[in-house]
Amino acid sequence: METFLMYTTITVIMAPLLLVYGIPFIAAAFLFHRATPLWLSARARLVGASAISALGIAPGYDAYMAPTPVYVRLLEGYAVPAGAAVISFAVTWLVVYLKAHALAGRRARQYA
Amino acid sequence: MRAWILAACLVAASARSAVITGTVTGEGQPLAGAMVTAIDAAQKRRDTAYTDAQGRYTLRVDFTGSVTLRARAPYFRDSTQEATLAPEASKTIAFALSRHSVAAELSASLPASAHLATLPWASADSRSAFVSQCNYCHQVGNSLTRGPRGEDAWGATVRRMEGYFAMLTNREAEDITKTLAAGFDGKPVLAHETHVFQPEIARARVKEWVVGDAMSFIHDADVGEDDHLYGSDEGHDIIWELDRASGAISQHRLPDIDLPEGGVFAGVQLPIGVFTGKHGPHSMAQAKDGRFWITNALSSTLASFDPATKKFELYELGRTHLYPHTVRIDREGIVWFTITASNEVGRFDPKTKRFTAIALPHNGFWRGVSDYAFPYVLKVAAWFPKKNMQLAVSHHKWADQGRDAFAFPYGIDVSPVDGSIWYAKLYTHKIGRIDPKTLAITEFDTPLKGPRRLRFDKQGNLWIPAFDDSGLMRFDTRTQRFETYRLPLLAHDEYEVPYALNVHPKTGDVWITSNMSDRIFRFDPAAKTFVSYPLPTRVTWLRDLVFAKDGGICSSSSNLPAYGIEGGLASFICLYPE
Repeated sequence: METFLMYTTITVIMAPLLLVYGIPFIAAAFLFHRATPLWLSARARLVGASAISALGIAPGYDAYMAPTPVYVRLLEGYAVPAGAAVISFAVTWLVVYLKAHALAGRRARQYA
Repeated sequence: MRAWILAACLVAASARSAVITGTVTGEGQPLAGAMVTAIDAAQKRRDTAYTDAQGRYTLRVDFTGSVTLRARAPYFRDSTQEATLAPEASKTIAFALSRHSVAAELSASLPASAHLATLPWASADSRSAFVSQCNYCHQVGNSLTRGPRGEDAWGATVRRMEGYFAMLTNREAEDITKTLAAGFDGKPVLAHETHVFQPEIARARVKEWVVGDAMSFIHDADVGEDDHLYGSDEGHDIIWELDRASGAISQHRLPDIDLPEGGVFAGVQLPIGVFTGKHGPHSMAQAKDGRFWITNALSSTLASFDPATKKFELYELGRTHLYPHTVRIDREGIVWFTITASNEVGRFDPKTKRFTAIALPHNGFWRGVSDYAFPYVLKVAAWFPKKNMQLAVSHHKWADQGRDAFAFPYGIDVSPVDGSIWYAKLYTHKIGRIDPKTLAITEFDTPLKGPRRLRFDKQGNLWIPAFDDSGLMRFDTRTQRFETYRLPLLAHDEYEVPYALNVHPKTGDVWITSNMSDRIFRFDPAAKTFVSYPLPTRVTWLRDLVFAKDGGICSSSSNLPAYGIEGGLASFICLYPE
């Protein structure tokens, strides 16, 4: 439990840095969301955009428990266990999706 | 009158001494500069003399009973003899040493500096990071630290050291890991050191008093007005007191405080088994009223200790002022100290009990980030005791800054000329001046790297050890010009890490710690020459040097951990040059 809390605290503190690393993916997610309203439902677009963002943000941890996005670690030549990468992506996707969903809901209420 | 009493005491003490004379030869020839050491039965005392050019020695031993006598010289096997000494006894004992003929034994007898010289560095930057960070508080290359290990084991060790505040980038950590794994392969090191005999050493004696346990970390020693030696045991929250005349050692424990083990640094995995305290008493200076002022590095407090009553008083500095470090006292009785990890100098007036923190220049953006954010990083890290969370979030890692993320004001001293306060910044390679009235700050770049514990001479010259560059610097505060000197090395490819120095108030000689080759240096500023005194105990790592009234140049042997020192324990050590 202590380890889980520690990872959570570290990830929250380092979230701004993860977001900076994730900028190219977040930009791609915006483009995806903008480009697909004719083909996909609002929920599917949100799911897809959140997944693209999560690909750029999902953290991998080094021996010091310092997080950098999994894609950055892979580009730098470090091995990232597939299971850990999948879990990290899934959790990140969920967090991004819930946040994006909340923002979308708030925006919809503003324009209603 | 006091001098007469002191002289009488010394005469009385030496009258009780046993005297051993004799010769040390090697392969039939007299050995100059060999060390003959008497070790008591309890292995708590060691007295050493050096041989002269004819291989003759005279060793006065201040303890009696069964003793082991050991003769030691470079490239020769140690020779030991047992003896029983009565008070005022005199004995003649000759030693005949034989050269090392087994490569592994010869290699094992070499100091850490010889072993380090073989490390195959891939880049100058990584070597520089290693010298600065891995030799920060101990030797590497001694028998404890040079054992062959694979990359995984060295990687774990390097990460552990980073938990102890070695500030490395990921690249540096990786390079150091690979270099240590490749370099310390267990093969004997070839000996190519040159040991030059200097006649001055034949007059010198060394006395050592073992103190504490294998986990003690007696960071600094100071000599009191009572001529007792006091040592601040940063690991155990103890002030050790040694009466050299009687050999009696007593300990004084600092009062408890409402902090966890490790103090403000509770989140940091401090050296296991060593830092078991909360205060971390670090540095000491005695005021005119007899009280010692002690910086408590881990609890962000200042303590006073009255040697007459043995009473402590604690003064809170505020827990954002991190790692109070070296302390000195000016002519007005104001206590000045560096606060290393938050880039400040502290000013404390004992009369008003008022503390002022003087923020030093940041020297760059990332160091500024450290100055503001580091206290909070440590605070959050302390939620998870001893887990090193700071390493996961610190910009010295993620912004690839390493030790450049901090300034680390370190040594401090007071100018005898104008009372100004001068400090050294270890990681920015600067010294700075604080006007004691206006608190205005001026900084100067040093020509050599790693300025550490500096000291003034009587003329107002500032002497500065260059830890990273095996050097000594003199800064003339009037002309603002530097002079630099290279320390004498045992071989061209070796290096030293001089931590501290002090200027003898009578002779003006500058005494400097070596720390990688178990020596101490004396520099004559007029002749610009060095004398190297080999020290009898392997893995001797010295910090502050102080001058006792009886002519001793004293310190504490404070390699971290103490169990890495030959014999496994720390000691007070005094060198008597005459």
